[in-house]
Amino acid sequence: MKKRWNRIKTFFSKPYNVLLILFLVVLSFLVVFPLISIIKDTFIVHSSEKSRIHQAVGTFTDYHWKRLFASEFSKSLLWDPLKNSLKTSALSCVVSILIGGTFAWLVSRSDMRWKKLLTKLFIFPYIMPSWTLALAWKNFFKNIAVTGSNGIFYSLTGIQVPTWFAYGEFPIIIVTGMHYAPFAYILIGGILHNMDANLEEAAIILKTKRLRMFTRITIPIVMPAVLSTIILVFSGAMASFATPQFLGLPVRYYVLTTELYASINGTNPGVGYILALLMIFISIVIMFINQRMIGNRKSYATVTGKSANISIFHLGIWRTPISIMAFLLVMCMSVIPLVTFALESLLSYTGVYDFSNLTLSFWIGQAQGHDTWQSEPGILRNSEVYRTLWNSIKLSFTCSMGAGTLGFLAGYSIVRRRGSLLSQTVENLTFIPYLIPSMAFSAIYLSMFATRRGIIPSLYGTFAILALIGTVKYLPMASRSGVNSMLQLSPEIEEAGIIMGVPWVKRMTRIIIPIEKTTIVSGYLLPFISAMRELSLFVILVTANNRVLTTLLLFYDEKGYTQFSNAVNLLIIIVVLIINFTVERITGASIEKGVGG
Amino acid sequence: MKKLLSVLFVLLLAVSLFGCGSKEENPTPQGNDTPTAEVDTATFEELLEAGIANGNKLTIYTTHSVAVSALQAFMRKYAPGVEYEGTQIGDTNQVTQVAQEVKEGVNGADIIFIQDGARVLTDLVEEGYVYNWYNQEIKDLVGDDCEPLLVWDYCNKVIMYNNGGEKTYNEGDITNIWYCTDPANKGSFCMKDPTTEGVNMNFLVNLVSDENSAKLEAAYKDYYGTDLVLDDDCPNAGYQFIKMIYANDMVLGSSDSTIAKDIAAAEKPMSGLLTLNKYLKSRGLREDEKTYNLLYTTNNVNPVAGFIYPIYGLQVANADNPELAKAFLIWLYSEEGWYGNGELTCDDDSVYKGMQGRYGDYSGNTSNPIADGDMSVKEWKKILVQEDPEQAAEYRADVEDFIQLIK
Repeated sequence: MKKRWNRIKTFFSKPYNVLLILFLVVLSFLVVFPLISIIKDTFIVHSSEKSRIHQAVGTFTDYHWKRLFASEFSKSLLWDPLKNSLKTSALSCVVSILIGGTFAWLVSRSDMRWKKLLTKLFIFPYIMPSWTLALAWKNFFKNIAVTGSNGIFYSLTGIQVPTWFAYGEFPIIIVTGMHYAPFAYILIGGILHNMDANLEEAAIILKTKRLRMFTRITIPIVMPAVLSTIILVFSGAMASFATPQFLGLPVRYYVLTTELYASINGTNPGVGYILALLMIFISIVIMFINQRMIGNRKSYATVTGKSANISIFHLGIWRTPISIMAFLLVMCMSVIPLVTFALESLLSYTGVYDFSNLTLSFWIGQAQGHDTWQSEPGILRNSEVYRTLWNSIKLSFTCSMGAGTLGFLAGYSIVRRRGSLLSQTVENLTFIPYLIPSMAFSAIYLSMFATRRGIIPSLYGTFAILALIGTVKYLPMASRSGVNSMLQLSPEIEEAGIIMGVPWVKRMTRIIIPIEKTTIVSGYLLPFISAMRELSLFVILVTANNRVLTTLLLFYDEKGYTQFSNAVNLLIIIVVLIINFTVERITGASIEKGVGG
Repeated sequence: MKKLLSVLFVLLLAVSLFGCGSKEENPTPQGNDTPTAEVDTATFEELLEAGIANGNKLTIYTTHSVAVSALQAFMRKYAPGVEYEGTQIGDTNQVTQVAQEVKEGVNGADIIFIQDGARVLTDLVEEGYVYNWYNQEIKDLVGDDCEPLLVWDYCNKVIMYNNGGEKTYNEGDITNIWYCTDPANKGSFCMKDPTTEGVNMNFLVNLVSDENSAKLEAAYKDYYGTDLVLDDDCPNAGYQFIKMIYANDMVLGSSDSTIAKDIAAAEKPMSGLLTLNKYLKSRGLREDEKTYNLLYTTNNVNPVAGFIYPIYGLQVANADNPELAKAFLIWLYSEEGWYGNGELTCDDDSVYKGMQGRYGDYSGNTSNPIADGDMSVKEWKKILVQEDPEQAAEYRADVEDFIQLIK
């Protein structure tokens, strides 16, 4: 008995054990319960389904499963959207790897010009909200066949693009691919930067041809990064909602997320919950493949960190043309979208692109009355905009503090007990929120916290519920960053402190945090930026009192206040960029470090 | 094995934790018990007095922005000491929010102003989350429109088209609703996505009723010169019409305003079903000749030129201040509530003008004035499909399923 008591005492004397137990309890409630709740929702009648199922609300039914998998609706509800999702996600991977990988190679292995500027601009699409490029594409390429009026591209060139180019599958693939290209650049670029130049030098000494060197050395070396990119982009593209909604709806092109949205908002949410489960299942399969591949990655132990002598490929006469092409690509991805938002927010009348049609009224003008297109004051005069901006910043800061701190502590305790059942369980738990689609996640939180549960009061309509869901949803980013950084840190450093009798808090604040400073700050930055540009996670939890900028943008968009929505969009991007670059300047942390670990 | 154990362990823990979370007993919504057949005899003055004595905050949710300014004007004049809050929320979100709040016993709205009668009936009224209430004063003003749901404001969506250029429609071009199924107009007819705004879906559902379907069948012959032959999957002319507009590349938009602006700027004949206030909004644009006029159709379209749908005023089951909510509702039917009196002010100290000058808004009290140049609700009802919430609630799932297969 005493022996057991002593073992328990020793177990809890280690701070990382206490942390792991705490994480286990709290995350089980916040993460696993939502999963169980989704499953339950696929078997009950919801109030909007009464007229189709003819049973009392809350009673058991297998209607949703039958309807989705074994009815005449299976094709349009499930198989077509699934096929579209898989196709657009797979091809988005190709686009992002081609763009990001080529760019990474040009930056790290060639003598391309303007590298510093181009690399800064290249990661813009990741910092910007996911719908940014989709909106810009629509502003730019919209065509007469679908909307009756033409976009900016036509005004500039007189060329009208075909409908397949303006809407549907093709732009969804390109836009999603471009949005995630920074991932490919960061991951592939990281390896190219750090790879051992000796391999290439050996090849040069052996007079190997350039092409052979590229296919036999460079490609195999970057393969793990390419695979990681595929996993990240594929999961991201599968879960993306705004891009297919903006570019697919006008031509009635549906993917899983847009079908999920329509089901949950419509009269058959049960089907929507099954679609959410399906998406979680697909993500788990992807994660499984990823873990298998990481296992295989051991055979690629070519990255030694000794990168002093990376050989630079001289582009020769192609240097300037290639640099200009890269410059143009980066402009298309990062600068032109911002220009289109600015332009659209300055138009008196939407769709008319000439100088006499420009106005600052939607930024600084007075409200013009209900029978005009400007029934609200310009956004810089609009108290609602300032209120929501402040709320967004407050919320993003809270989520970043929550996810960043918990993620770091989770990373610390997971790594310290690596290999144990407890550590593995907590690591898996911290990752589950990444797999649950935002919209389904928030629907569950709404029903979980609308009422008092044990010691937790009802959080409905409060700031706390937004902060809580943001913290949990962004925990995977921060904990991954925490795990990666702690893995790089040898345990001996902390052990030295333990031998000297330094208490845990002091060991953390004096040893570990200072060493891991930049990675930790990156672990805070990523949740901050994600929360600033988050829409689908907050949209059904926000009430009028705690509206954030993105939900205000959606409100303007739904009302058709085009100039306002473009102006607010630009405002969000500017705030995010300012904060990102300020943090980067002050601390040396960056998004790249957060993504790449 | 380790993984399996960890999964099992976590599941057990989550279930036990959830089990611990005791759900507080919420008061069962009493809405169903509230009699609607017997008319309440309480007067405006009595309710106002009781509401002020109650003293709790008055909260409204509304799909129409004017209800928010009306609330401000009303409270500043009649109940200056009582707190209030008005929030504009779309119909779908409002249904979710109100249902959730009442079910969980959270204090939300006292009264809601909401469209989409079908969802309101099935999701809110039948579940007892909101109830239909009116007193004798309202009954005298509104008449039949008190049931099944009390109409506060009628809105209409009418076929509108671009006009004024060589490549636009000309006045009088659109004379039959089947024009939007005509291959000559492929990809030029727009409406807000029916799956995102319920009133549009209700319109399509109402089209498949026996009465409207018969009208559509006759209009088909009038337009195409032959009898309508139904496809196997179309039980009547209403379904056939829906199938044909989708097959003719109907453009689905995310908001009426965006569609209106696109149509006004279009370099080809474009048309769509839009709220009538877009007519006034686009009228000013023509002065600079940047865009085309938006004109609307009226009684020259066979059989209907669009649809008319109510925004209902309904009481929430767990209201904090039901008396004041009812007094506010009664006041909205007065001319002062509808148009202001030139003296009432809103929170930003601007004069409350209510529905003054608005095309496409008509009080449930038909004796209230309408905007100059607009037609009365009585005239509109003759040429538009009028939302039937009960028929829409009954057949909505069928029509949604039908659209799911053809979209």
